[in-house]
Amino acid sequence: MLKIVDDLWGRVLAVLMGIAAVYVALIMIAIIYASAFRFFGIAYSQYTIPFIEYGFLFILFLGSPWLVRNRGHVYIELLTAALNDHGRDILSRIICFLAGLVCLIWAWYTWLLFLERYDDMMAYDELRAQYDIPLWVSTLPFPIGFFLMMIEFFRFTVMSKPMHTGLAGIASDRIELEDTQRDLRETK
Amino acid sequence: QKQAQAETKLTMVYPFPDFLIYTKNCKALVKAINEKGKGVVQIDVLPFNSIKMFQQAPAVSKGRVDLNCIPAAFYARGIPELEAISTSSSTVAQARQAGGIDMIDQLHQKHFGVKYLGWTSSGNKFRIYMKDPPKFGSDGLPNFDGVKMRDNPIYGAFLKALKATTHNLPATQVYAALEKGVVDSAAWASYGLRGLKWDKFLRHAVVPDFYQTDIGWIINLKKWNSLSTKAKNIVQSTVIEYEGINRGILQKLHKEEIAALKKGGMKFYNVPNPKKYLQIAVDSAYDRMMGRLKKAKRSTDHVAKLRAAFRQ
Amino acid sequence: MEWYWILSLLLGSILLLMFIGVPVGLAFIAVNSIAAFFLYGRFGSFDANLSASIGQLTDNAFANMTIFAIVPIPMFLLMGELFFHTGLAKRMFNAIENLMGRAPARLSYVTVAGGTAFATLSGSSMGSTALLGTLMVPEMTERGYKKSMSIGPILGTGGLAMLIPPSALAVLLGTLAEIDIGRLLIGGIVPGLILASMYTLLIYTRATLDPSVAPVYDIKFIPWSSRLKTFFSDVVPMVSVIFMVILLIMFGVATPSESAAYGSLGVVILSFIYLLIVPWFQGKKEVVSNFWNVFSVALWKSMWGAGRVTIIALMILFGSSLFSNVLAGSGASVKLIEWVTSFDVSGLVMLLIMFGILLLLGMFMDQLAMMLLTVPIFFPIMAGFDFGMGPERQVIWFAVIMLLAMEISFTTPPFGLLLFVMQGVCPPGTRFGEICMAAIPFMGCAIFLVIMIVIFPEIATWLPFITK
Ligand code: NA
Ligand code: NA
Repeated sequence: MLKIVDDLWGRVLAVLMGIAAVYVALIMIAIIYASAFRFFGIAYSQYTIPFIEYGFLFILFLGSPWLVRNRGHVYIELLTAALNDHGRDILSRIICFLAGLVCLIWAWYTWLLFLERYDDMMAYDELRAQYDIPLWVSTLPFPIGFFLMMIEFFRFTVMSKPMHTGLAGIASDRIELEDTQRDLRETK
Repeated sequence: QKQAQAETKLTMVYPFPDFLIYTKNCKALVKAINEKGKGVVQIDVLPFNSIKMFQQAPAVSKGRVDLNCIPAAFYARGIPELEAISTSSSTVAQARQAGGIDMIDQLHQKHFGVKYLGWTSSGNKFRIYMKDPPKFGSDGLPNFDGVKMRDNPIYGAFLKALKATTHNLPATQVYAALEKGVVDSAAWASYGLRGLKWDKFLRHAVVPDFYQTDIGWIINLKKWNSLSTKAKNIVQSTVIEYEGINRGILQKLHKEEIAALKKGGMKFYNVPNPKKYLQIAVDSAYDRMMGRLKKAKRSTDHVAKLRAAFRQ
Repeated sequence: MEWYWILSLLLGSILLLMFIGVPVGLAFIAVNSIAAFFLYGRFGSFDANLSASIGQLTDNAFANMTIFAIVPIPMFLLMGELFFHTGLAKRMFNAIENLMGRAPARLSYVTVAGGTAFATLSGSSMGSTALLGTLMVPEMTERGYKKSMSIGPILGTGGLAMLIPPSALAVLLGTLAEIDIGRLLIGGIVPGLILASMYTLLIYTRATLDPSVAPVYDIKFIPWSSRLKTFFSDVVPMVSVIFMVILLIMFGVATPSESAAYGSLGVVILSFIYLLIVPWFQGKKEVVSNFWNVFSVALWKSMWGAGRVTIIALMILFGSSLFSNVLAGSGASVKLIEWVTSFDVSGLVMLLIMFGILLLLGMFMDQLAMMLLTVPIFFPIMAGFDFGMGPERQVIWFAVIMLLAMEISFTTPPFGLLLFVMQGVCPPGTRFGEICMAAIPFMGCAIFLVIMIVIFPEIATWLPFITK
């Protein structure tokens, strides 16, 4: 039962990551659309700029939890590679607990910040004042992203396999490597 | 010993890099206050980039730092009435005399939790610069057909009212964009254009100038109320004194800059109907102000009085 | 507390957290939170102080993260991923290999040439190292190449990726340092070509002196006419994407930051040509009918891959950009500059100090974080020195040196990030020491180039200022 819930939850995070991936492609389209129309002197939506710039926040916080779950962020396995299995297991769980704690604090206080701004009629993005974008729009990704990351870090403290694998190098590049190798096998 | 205990320390942040005149003026004023305020009040200026520029005014409002010298445009979406300062034609002394600064201060206290101490660094004005000579229509106004103009929150409403096609580009990208013709026009303050080297491409200027630069001095309201009367007097009187001094400095630079631009080959073109041009500049900003106040369901009764004080 | 204690404490705790294995972005965030607590928390209660510090960091992060200057990162990544997943990259590698004929150590040259082309297109050292390591090292090992001849050139090509335009990092550096991006991009061309020549010479010398490092073996002779055909059909179109991007900048269609998006578009168009239009004319019905299947899978994988690496970069950017705010707020940045400039050293010594700092930082930071941390400090300091070439040329010159320094630091034993990536992609049994040894001669070339540029600044400044 717990396994099913966990699998489903993993899929939810993958969907969020998928949205982030699509957003990247939309940024490409938005840039080409705006610059081509500008070049030919045709009117275009001025909202492309905030769409692109806000995109980085949304992409980060939508996709980051999935990356935590799949050992995708950059962390250096130097000490953890030198330790024995038992030592690494304990250290990894301590790190994940502390990381989860940091995310919890951020999730809580940015959530309060979001609530405060949601009620404030005068809290706007002042840099882009011409677009009338309320500040809560850019605040919302923070509590969501940190809350989801918190769940994933705490999950690693109780999983049978800890986050750190002890394989020297950088975890994120291992995924890239495995993906690349799989792709190469498939194309052969 | 007793005096040292009574000395209040205030922290301050500023938005622009140290080489800009606005920062120099700001720091000169801090120095003057610190000299007069020995044993009473001292200002500690935090280094550049401690807090990002558009996040500084909110940080003062929240009390994370005490003081800030900052353009009103950097938080004018929250207090729409601040456009009265940006679009002012009055001198700072006139605006103070007519009670305009007082009204601005009251709005700051009521809606933002800060006290507005004064309008320093007035006197530098804005104008439109172009790569190609401007064309003028039969209505006596510039005709921006086919011109790609860079947008800016301060005068964006004015440019739109002039039916210009505007493009949003960050200031750091404008140089490259002008060089390659991505945009071919931009408005900017008179003094400061050469610092950005945009005059390398923008060789034609449209006059008359409009609006005014502004740097306001704001202090967290709770902190202000906690200061001794003596400390309040020192800070307030020095700010007012420097309103005049800084205006003198900027007006001098403004005039020198025009001479330097002309010497560098910049061509100046007079708008055939300057009165209408300036009228649109102000009306477009006040229209936007009224719209924003209504959207926030706030009273607009005081706007006429505000306009009278700042448009003398 | 004295500024140097603050600086050591902040940097020390981040390094410690990274060393024990805390995710890099989170190590920054944790230390930032504690530092901000002391900077902005003045409200008495613990809760209010924490709220104020997280609130201020959130505000700063919003300002740091929503800037257009970040655009080149996801766009160049997307371009590289598309190039790889549509099969165009492999096609180009095969073509270059065929062009080489029977030259000794030709697979090493293929690595340099193909790696340069790919790294140049993608602009991502990490991505191209992972790709080339997977693609080339097993094959070369099988044919009896020594590891130094396969791993070395791959690690070396990353430096070319940053120098030869379009380069995402050059655009970012130009943006952060507020210098002329067009000139900086052009400034990298001559040094890039010199570096590529040095790599070629290095391979040639070693293969001549010790033929056992790259055994010669027979392959079928390919006539020159068909080689020429391959060159025009499989190499020229790929490289022309680069020229298209540069032309778009020159003609004012796109700003340098925007141009990367057109690179992705260029690859999409190429894949339509190679996977749909050409097979259609050739009457290959099943390739044509299969096109949408193949293309949509490639597109989805590219978006996913570009998104994934973008998020990794954004997470580090999130933490490290906040760190530069906190460092400024604590007064440590200003004091550090004052301290460094208080020594009465010559410009060259200062350059050497900065080079050393970059090498040191590159051991545990990515290039983006390094730039964010050092550009606001280094460029103002360098502006205070006069190297006798005029301020306009000097910033371009210094920026080119900085790009090279960052790339060298990325590959410097024993901690260069790329070395770990290489360890990950190499066949089992490859020792870390082997990788380090293979890297050293190629890093030597890059360091030699830096020395050349210092002695003859014209290498970097001649081409960009030729019009003036
Ligand atoms: Na490149
Ligand atoms: Na490299």
